[in-house]
Amino acid sequence: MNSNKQAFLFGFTFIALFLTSVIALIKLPGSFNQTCLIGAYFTPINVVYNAIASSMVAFILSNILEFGSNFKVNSSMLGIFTWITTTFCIPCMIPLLSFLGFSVSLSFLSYNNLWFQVASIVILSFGVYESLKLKNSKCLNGNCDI
Amino acid sequence: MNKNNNTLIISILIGCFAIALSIIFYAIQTTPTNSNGNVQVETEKQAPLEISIDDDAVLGDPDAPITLVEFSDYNCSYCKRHFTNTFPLIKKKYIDTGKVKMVFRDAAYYGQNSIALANAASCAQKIGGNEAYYKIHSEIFSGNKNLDNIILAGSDFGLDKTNFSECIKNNEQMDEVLYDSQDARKYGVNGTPGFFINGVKVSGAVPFDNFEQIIENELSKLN
Repeated sequence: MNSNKQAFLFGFTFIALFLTSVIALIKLPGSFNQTCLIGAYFTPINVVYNAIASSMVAFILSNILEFGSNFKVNSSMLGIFTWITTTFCIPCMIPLLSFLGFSVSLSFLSYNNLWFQVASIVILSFGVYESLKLKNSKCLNGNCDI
Repeated sequence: MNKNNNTLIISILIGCFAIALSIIFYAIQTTPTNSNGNVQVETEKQAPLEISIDDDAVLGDPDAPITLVEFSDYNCSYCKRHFTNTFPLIKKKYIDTGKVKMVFRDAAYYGQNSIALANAASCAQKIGGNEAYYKIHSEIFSGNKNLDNIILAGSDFGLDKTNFSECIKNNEQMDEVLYDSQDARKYGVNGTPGFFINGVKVSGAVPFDNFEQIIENELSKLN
């Protein structure tokens, strides 16, 4: 894979993830001032946060496809899970998630939304760092086109 | 090349931590707290509205001087929180003592399942009256959201099983549910639960103290 393909993959993945997250913010119930409210999480700061998280995930994924991955890069994908849980009010989603049988146990997530946002940024930052380190080591060994 | 990449990595990491700190700072700044450090919940400062109770089920003395109207969705976790934590206190202190009558109206905002559950409760009222309504209402908020189990619960409460089942399956009360939901929008209830205490609007699953304050204020106006 060359740098143009990687850039294309990054762009495509970023747009797909960002649009999906914004649509989720707009259409799904959020939590506001102890009420369930459709679109409550569609705020400027959440849009910015989702743009950042989308770009980080897109970067990590495009790097994985080009340079492979290791345990550290793979473990940073936990940041995706924490990111997803901040997009909507989990308890408000109970009717959609109840078939999975564990929706009630996730109810604490909406009350700690901010810390999950911070945690996802930190974990994904770690993933970006490890991806770049892996890329550097591969390029030093002459295994990249860049 | 390595130096540039390292600089880029460090810049990205610093940027991300700065963003994380900004999010924390913003959240702390925009969350009002009282002297105990608890998040403040404000009741709406607007003139009392004339809220219709339509033909919805009344709990308590119909001649009670205070009317508490609740607009709620059976799939809203905050509505359930209110039902579990706050409603029992309101019932004990004000509804059972004849000071407040409660009217529950549907704001079925969260999909077809919400409408189906609201329809089921409304069917209970249609067949068995106010008492049956609030029994099914409690049953649903206690966690029973399966329509077949609700039908069984209804028959345990004395509702005619065939009529109850047909009413639920044919969505016979859907117009009533949708009418209530439209009324909720009309009164400015965009999120659930929403309450009106003699027309004074309260939003969210607020603590009992908030209800107590408003109800006592309304009661004092009557004296």
